[in-house]
Amino acid sequence: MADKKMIIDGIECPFTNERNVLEVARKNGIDIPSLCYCENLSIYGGCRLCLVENEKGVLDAACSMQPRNGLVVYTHSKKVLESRHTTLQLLMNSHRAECLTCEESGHCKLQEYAHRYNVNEPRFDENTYSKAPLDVSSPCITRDPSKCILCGLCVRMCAEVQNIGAIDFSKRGKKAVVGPGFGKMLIDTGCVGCGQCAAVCPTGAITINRQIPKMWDMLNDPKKRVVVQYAPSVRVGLAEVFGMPANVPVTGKLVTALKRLGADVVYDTNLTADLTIMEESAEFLEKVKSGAKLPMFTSCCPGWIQHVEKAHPHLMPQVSTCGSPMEMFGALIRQQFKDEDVYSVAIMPCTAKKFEAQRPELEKDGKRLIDLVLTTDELARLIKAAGIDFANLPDSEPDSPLGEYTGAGVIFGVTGGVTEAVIRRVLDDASPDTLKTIAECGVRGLQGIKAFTVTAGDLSIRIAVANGLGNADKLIEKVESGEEQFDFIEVMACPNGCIGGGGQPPASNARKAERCEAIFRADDDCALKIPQQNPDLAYVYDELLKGRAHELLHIHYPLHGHHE
Amino acid sequence: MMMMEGNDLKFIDSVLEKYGNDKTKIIAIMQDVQERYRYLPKDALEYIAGKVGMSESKLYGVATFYGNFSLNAKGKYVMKVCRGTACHVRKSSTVLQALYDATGTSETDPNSDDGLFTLEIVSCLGACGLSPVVMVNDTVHAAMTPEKARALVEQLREEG
Repeated sequence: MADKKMIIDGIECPFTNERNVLEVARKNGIDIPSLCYCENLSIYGGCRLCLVENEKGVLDAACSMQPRNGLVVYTHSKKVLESRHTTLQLLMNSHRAECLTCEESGHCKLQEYAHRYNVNEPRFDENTYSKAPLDVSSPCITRDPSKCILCGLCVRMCAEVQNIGAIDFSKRGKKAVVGPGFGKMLIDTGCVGCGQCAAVCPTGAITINRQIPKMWDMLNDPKKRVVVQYAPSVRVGLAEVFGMPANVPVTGKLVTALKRLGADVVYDTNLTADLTIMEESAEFLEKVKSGAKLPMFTSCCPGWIQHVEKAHPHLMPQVSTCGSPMEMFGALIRQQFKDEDVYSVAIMPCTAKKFEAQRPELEKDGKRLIDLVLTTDELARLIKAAGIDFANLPDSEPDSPLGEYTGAGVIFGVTGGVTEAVIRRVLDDASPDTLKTIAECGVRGLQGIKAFTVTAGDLSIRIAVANGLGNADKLIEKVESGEEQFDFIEVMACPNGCIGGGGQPPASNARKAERCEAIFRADDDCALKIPQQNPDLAYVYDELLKGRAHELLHIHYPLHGHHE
Repeated sequence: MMMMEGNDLKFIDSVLEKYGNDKTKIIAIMQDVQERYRYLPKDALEYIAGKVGMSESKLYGVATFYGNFSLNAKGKYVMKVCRGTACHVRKSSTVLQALYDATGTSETDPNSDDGLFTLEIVSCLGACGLSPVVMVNDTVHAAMTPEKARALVEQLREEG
């Protein structure tokens, strides 16, 4: 059978199973503008920017048009250009354009299209932007309805991918707004702060709650010892901002950049990812031995923890009490620099970490474990503000002691990584054959839900891995209905895991696949593969924790219930 | 969930049961609830959202999309004053003003303080031959004048 082709702007464009004409065009190098379309969400057809003209001179939305063999469309005919111009003008009329001071300036798609299509002024003098109040209730994200263009991407992300539905459209016509029901603030909804809404928002209507000025204050305070840790996924999200390939980790440059910014001490969160595995696998084996209720759920992801607390509170006792790697490093930093005036900063791919860091439980010996969480996005802005030529930086190593890590730690950044690290730990064999067997057991891949069985000695462990809270909910339903049984379940709230976190620069699926590749490259670069090989762990347990490991590395949230 | 107890809870549960907790029947569910309370209490909507498996924000969206649903408590007598073309030509504006004055309401504050009256402006009640028309709950009052409007309010007030 001959290949299927359609004609876009007179060019033959082959296609196979693309969902719509928009995808066919983009795949063939023709960028049709759109503000309400996302490859991972249902089709809305609301923004009317992707209109194309067919042979009969009729305009139709490319996002809602099925490709078919021989179909002819034009993407920059006079009619299309006029329509696009008017649509953009009308959008500008209902958007509070404060581009000079807007945080998303330079990242805003509406701004980009206004420039690209020469829309120099709005259609009417009066602007009808929403006067609904700014929502700063969440420590993770900020909602500014005055900049919302009602594209509905955030609504679909929250409902379809995360199965939360914290926000939706309300009212109608020119009074229509997006927000929580009943005029509530985000903090009073099922919102877990994952930031996926901010990642898809084409304007500045939903943004990361950025705290860059605070960081500058601390970096410039000579009395403060600023100790910075950075998570596995930061090394794979940063490069693309500086025009570098996304499939190569930039760990060395990241450390150099942090030092040049003025950080006094720099650590790689990978060390405490290793530590998490030591604690979590011990906890798991203990639960198996004592006959405790399974499955045990992972606890690294703060979005997931909040989702359990808000939507499945009865499952909380089955969630591991291990602190996240960020929390654990916070605890180590306080032990390492006991009486010093240390400001503890975590660079994370995650907006929900901003909430986690504020939780009352993350305080030990009267000190906050983490003073400030910045996202990968915020770090990129800091680096730019400091005028650092990131792409040409030399490499540096994290500080020592506490600078060592294994490949098991770095793979935390991608869905399945925590589980793979646990299996490496439990099988206790770093031979290439065993590592290969583990990698091929079904744990890898970016699918939403994976399920497989691993045998360790006489123990057969049934494992599931989910990314995206909608997938987690599906899995929980199967477990609760008795359809499936698992011993261990890993959940990451963001699609694809932390590499796709809400604090990362927004990225397409293809870009996220490259980041995944970069994570496994970083694993390949590590000589040590299994957490128990980490030479710093002896120092951690013997010199820093001194018998207080459980007290300092485990977090008992209220719903975890009673513990000894 | 303060309001949702005892009889209220029983009533909402009976409505939900009638429609099998089916979220595709949400409009019918909301209509039944509004029929009883004359508006949609927030607590009731939150309760229903959990039962039918819809997000609160989605349910709020449905409730605010349709003009027929109200989230505010309404008076015992809901007076729909038609301001459609035919009624306008036959001076419905004077009828409306007479009703505002007699009930002590206004366009910005359509509920009377005694909880008896709610005034709503509608575009057409489909009874142009009887214009100007005012509908009080389910009763149509035809060929209204300011005098008849004042008498109507007086009569309803006496009925309490």
